[in-house]
Amino acid sequence: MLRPTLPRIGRSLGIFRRSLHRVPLLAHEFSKGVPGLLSPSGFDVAWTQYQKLMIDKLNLLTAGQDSIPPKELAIKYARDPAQAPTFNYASMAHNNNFFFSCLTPDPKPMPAWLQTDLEASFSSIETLRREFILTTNAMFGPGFVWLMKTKQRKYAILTTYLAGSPYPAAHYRQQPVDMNTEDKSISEVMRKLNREPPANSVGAHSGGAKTKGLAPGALDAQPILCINTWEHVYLPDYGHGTITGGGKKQFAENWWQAIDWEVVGANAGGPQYAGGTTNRSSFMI
Amino acid sequence: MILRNVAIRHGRQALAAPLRKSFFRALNTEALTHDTAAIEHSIQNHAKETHSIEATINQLHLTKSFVPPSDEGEPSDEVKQNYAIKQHIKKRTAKLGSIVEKHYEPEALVINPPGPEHVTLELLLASQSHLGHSTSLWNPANQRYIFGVRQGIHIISLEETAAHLRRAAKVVEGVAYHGGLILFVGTRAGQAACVVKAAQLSKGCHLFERWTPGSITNKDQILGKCDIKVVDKDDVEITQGYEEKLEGWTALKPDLVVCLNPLENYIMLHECGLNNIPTIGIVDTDADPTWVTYPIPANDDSLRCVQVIAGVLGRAGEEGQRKRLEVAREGQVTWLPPPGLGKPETEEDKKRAAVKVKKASKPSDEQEQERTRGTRGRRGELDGEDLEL
Repeated sequence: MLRPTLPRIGRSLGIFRRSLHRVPLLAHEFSKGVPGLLSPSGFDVAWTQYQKLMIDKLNLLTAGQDSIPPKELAIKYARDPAQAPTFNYASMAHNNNFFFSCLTPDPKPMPAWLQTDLEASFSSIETLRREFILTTNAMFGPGFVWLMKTKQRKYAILTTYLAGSPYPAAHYRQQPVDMNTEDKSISEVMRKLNREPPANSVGAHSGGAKTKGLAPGALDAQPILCINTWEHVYLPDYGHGTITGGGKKQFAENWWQAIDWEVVGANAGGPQYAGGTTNRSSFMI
Repeated sequence: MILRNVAIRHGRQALAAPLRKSFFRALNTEALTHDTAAIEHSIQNHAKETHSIEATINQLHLTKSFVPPSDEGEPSDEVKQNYAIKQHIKKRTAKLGSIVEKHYEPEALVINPPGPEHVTLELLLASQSHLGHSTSLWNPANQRYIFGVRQGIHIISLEETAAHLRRAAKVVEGVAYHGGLILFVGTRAGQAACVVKAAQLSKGCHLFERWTPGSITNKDQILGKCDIKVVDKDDVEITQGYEEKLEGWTALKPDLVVCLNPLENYIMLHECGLNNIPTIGIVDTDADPTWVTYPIPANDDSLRCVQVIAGVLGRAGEEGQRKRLEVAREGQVTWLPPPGLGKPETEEDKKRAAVKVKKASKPSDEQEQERTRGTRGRRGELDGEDLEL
């Protein structure tokens, strides 16, 4: 009987084509775990096994197609529900790599220019830290919490559930909220509007002006730091925790101590792009 | 925020905009001094009155620095900065997620072509340069380039291809080094991009549509209307001094022609032969190797192979140009200007020529008059009799 040559058939027969994606290398050697954050076995589960799984699945799904990096794949398939699995694995592979690229075994203090920039957006670094930890704690379910750099040289925090992507081009699959908690009778546009703060709804400071020239739902910001709140990352080492502490909250607190601020600064563009002049169309109240 | 808005609103209701002097002057066609003086006095009084209200408003320091939001958009350097940040972050995050294996990207051959140093047998094999035509269609003159027969076709020897390609690259580099004009020709479908790129790299000319027969043998008719420019040793255009000469100058001929499909361009290659222009061409097993000066035995039907060869020759030309300009910066010129070009015409030369014309217009001697009639109908490409300087 003639069988069609589809990747699904190849998978079932155990035949693999030449693998186009390989597990990326991290900047630091974490085989002994991430000091202060993950044990060797925890790191093995969170990175070694999981990333390999993502890459293997991605290879199977993209077998025979053009070789595109995972970020581009995620953006390409963000609006294609038929390719949702490919989006999921590509986005997860990218997000997981992003998370581990921001960790270091030897953390150093934050660069001064970055501190000034962040303090301008968050009033203090302690506030930023608390925002991150509380947001992480509040998320019910797996996802990521991102520190985004907007085009006004301001910073903001963004949550993405499951394999949601923070990139503006893939906003269709940003998955910023748990859909099970949303009122589906109201349209997406209205829900987004209701989520935003009530002030400044008209003129140059409104949501409409901010998104001028962008696709509906897009956010003109780029990610520079993230924390992975998927359970498999913190569960082996921290367990679920209790209502008083431990678990995910403890993981987030430890993560803050292990961040590589040099990488975050480099992601944000370095001191040459640090804030300083105020935007002409904004003013301090 | 509330305070400021209230203050401004208050200000607006309290004041009428004082009449400015400039507006008044515009309306007034004649200088009515007494009228102007009176009105100016009233304006000054008005300003004095309003000064106190302005003082109260300006006490709120926020109003001084208040810039109302406008739709003009951000100043241009801010936009540039934001764009640069965005591009930087995109670059930083683009490769995260997996290591993508090295793979063949067709567009890379045109965007970033390989150079002569990258020519390897593996590259030629991967580009299908060894695939000749059916054995019954061969030209026996290509015997020496054929490695063998497989599946009914002749296999072109990779070593022959590599050696001939390297030789051709040397020729292209040499011609470019000595300031020659190189023409890249590729008239088959899909060859346009690589032909243009190769011409750009070696600062030559390209042709990807049909060669008009007579473009060399009948060049003044077909290419007579093309622009010509004169450049100095550093390739900087000389804009003054050659206007007259350039007006009557003949069309240019290429100093080297690279043809990617000689089978379809016999007429062009024949014209090159008639005019002693060396040619390089990709010669397949069914092509005639004597049509070109420097054959490159390779597969002319594979676009990938053609792009590799065009890329290699383009890079060789680029290198030749680079070396030429480098030595020119140090004062050494590797080429000669065409005979008859001479030095640029200065103002003195023009005056001298004008004086000569004046002398010639005086009917002093019949013999002299006859002698002044031009013997040269066309400048450029002189027969050697009339070399001015």
